[in-house]
Amino acid sequence: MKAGLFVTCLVDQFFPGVAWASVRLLEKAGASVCFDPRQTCCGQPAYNSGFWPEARDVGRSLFDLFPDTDYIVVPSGSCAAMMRRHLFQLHSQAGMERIAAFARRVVELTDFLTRICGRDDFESSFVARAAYHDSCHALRDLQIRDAPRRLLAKVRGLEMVELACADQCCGFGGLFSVKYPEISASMGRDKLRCLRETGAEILVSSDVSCLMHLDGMMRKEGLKIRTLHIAEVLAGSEAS
Amino acid sequence: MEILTENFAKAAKAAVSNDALQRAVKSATGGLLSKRARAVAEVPEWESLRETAQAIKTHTIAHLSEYVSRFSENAQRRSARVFLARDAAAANRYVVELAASHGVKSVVKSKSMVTEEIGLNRALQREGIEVVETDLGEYVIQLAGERPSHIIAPVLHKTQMEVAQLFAEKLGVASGASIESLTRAARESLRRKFLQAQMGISGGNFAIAETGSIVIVENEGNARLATSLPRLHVAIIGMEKLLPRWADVSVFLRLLARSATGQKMTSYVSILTGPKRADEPDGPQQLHIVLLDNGRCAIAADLEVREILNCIRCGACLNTCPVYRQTGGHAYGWAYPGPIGAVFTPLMVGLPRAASLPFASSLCGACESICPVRIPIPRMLLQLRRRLVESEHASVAASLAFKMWGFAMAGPARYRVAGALLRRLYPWVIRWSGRFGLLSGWTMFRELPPLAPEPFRRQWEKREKN
Ligand code: SF4
Repeated sequence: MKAGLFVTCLVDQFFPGVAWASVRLLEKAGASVCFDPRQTCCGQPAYNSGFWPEARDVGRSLFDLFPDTDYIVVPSGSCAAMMRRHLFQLHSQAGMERIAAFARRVVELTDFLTRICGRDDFESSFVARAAYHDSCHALRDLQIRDAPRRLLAKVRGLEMVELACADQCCGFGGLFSVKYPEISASMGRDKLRCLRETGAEILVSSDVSCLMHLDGMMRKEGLKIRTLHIAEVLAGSEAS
Repeated sequence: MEILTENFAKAAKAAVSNDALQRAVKSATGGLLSKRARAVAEVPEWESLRETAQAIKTHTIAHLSEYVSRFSENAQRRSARVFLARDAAAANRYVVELAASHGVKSVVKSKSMVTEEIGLNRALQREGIEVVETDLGEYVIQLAGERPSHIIAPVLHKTQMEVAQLFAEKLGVASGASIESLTRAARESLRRKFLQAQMGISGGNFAIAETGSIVIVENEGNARLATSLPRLHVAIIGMEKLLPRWADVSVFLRLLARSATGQKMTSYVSILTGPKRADEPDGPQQLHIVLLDNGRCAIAADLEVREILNCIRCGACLNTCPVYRQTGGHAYGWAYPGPIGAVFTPLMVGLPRAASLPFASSLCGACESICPVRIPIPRMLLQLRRRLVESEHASVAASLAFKMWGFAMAGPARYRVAGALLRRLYPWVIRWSGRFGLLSGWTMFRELPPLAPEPFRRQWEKREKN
């Protein structure tokens, strides 16, 4: 099975470790991974902020990506949701078939590993006490709830603690985080309060954007809980 | 109601640093949410109920004018008088003139958001008519001279202490009184008002076209008193509250009570069809129904957002909304706060005046997933954002940022150059971030993430070469 990896712009520029961890997991799951260097961004930042022509222009080249792979795997719930469920909003009826054919191939990473590859045990180990935070778009836009939990439950040495407010938004929200920083940070503080109560040493999520916001807050406040993308935990790249 | 939507950013900021408000709102909404969750878990067919309700509402809104006339005919056949009010002024004028022609001196009101929307109390008071809110929460709001902050729990932003203090000041209740004695004080004062009033004003949760009936759900019995004791009953109802058939009501009663308060059924459900008949012992001599448009027909014709009229005002989206839970309801600046308000208010008062509201959301989708009629609120927020940007209401900083972003992201060659440039400039970005509008919004509360020394694509190319 051929899997194209759409790394997302944020992972590409800031968190390449997440992309490598995804590659290792996909290969372990038996997929042959390819990377199309023509990829840039899915267009979500502009789309969510009301700048639809800009989002449309950036997104136009998406349809040419990975012409010969069965799937396009994305290590981000929100970018996957953008490509699976929202792209069609930006385009006229004429191109619908092409968009639908593309959207059907887009799959979020944990969904891909469990549902398409049928695997939840990657024989990895990671010794830590961990809490999982649901990415809103993975959870509510793509209905992915069990996949990440099943995957994490199989990691040796990983003690999962349930986050009381796991399904509550962390407060990131793209433009929202800078347009209404006080509200966004207050939401983040609520999340971090829940997190502290669990006694977790690491916070795991399937979207680097949530983690970037929460990690940024924790560093500002001197809180020492590490944030890790789920791929990094599953690939055991940080096994201690 | 006076429109204060322009103040959202400032009011929200103040609310976020108001600890008492934060505690009150979070604990009240949290309580409502857990009750709702329990009540919903008891109904295995919940999802299919939602689907049915959504279909009924969507159909009704698509045929709104047809159901308006059917309702009017049937209500009139039962001797109710129906007035179609084009806007707030027309509705208020109708009620004020009616009151004047009947020599009404005092009015009792049951809870109604639509009368907040049109500012009816003020219009009546201006004519020297006494207006008394009889729902306990609304009564508190009226005593305090405030506005409701939630569509079903108007006083949710206040702690018990604050209410006790208010009652001590205004009603002479001993300070630090228990909830019970506070309620008793309100009840005593309200009983007298019920008996004096010549006119009762209510809203309406549903209006049934098939029979011309109106349905009112409540828990205190005050709406039943207000609609049956005084000789005149005026019900003010937004047109979107119409339901085609009698049989539809049961679907919505089940959804509404469970979503709103986590009850199987509210303590009182009044179904009113016409005024008192000759063979009936009580009831008002006249029933006037004001069906309010005030912009609703225009929304019904706006296909991208018309589904917002499916709303049954249960308040669940407010309770679950992380933004509402931080800001409370007042920050939204008009009658309808929270996710429903973030869409409905701009459509009602005009997008430019309420330009902040569609952006007051992280698009987390909690509202859509809790909504009993499945309104896709996030999708509508996106449409309104698009309209705002199209009509050049975006800030200069945001426009510039997305122009640059669009340029940099359109094509791999530009993207590469932009990435290289970013690596050059990033130390400066970090150093000066406090100075730039949008970036300073980030660094006010968070550190910027470290940039990878090399983007993934470079690393991948190297691996491919080896
Ligand atoms: S939008 Fe939905 S959840 Fe919100 S008040 Fe209306 S019916 Fe209730």
